[in-house]
Amino acid sequence: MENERINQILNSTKGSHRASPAPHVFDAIQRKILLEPKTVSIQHWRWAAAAAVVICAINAYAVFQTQNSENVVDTYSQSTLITNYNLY
Amino acid sequence: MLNDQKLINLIALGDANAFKDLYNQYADKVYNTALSYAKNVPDAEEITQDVFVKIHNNASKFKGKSSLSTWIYRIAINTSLDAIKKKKNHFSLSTENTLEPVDFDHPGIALENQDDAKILFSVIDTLPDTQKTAFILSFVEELPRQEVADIMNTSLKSVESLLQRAKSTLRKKLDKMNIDRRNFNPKESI
Repeated sequence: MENERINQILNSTKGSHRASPAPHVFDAIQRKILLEPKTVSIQHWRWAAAAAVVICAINAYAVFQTQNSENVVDTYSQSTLITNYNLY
Repeated sequence: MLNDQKLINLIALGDANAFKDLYNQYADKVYNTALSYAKNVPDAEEITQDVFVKIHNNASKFKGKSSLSTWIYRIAINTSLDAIKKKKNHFSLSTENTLEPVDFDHPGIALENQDDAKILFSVIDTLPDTQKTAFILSFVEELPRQEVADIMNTSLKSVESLLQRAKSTLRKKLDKMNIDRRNFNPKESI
């Protein structure tokens, strides 16, 4: 083949414009995203585990605090009872 | 308009509008790259879908080490090459025939160049993957050489060398084909 003809073929894509995908392509992408099973990365699992530990610690602290405050109430109620039943 | 990093961060957080914005900005680039590899509209549409699903699912992994455009082109090229490999494997498993020769009208190419482009695409298909990618990005997508080098994660010098080898191979193959413009049939020529 002549050199000129080869150059013509090699340059045939010059100045071409970009074609756009059909509108249904974006709808198909959205459907695929919705149907795709959600994979959770190790990083996310780590954050979830850390969050669980923090929540457990807060709960444990809250239970401990409640027990302590119940003791205070008990002492208070006993002392009021005693005072109320004081004989004057 | 949002900058690339903000846009991708919003997509990572599940912002549907940001994803639509990104699609509007990059759909044509991705689709045309896919078309150059797949050489048919249904496969190019399928590749485009897969590329954007990957972008959506991996948005949190984009750290801005390259430009967003470079990252998206890399995903598009890898997805296209994987799709071609899958198709070739499927063909070689299901039948003894090889792939159909290329007879493809690229919708973006001027009407008067369609026949020549058809010949060119049929020969591009025979190049090794790296030469094919360098050629498509440089001469079909018409990207600057530096951007091609960034996308291919290589130096400017190696891109130039890949292009030289690609052109030389294409010239040899075209020369062997001895095509007459008026009666070219790619199915007979390969």
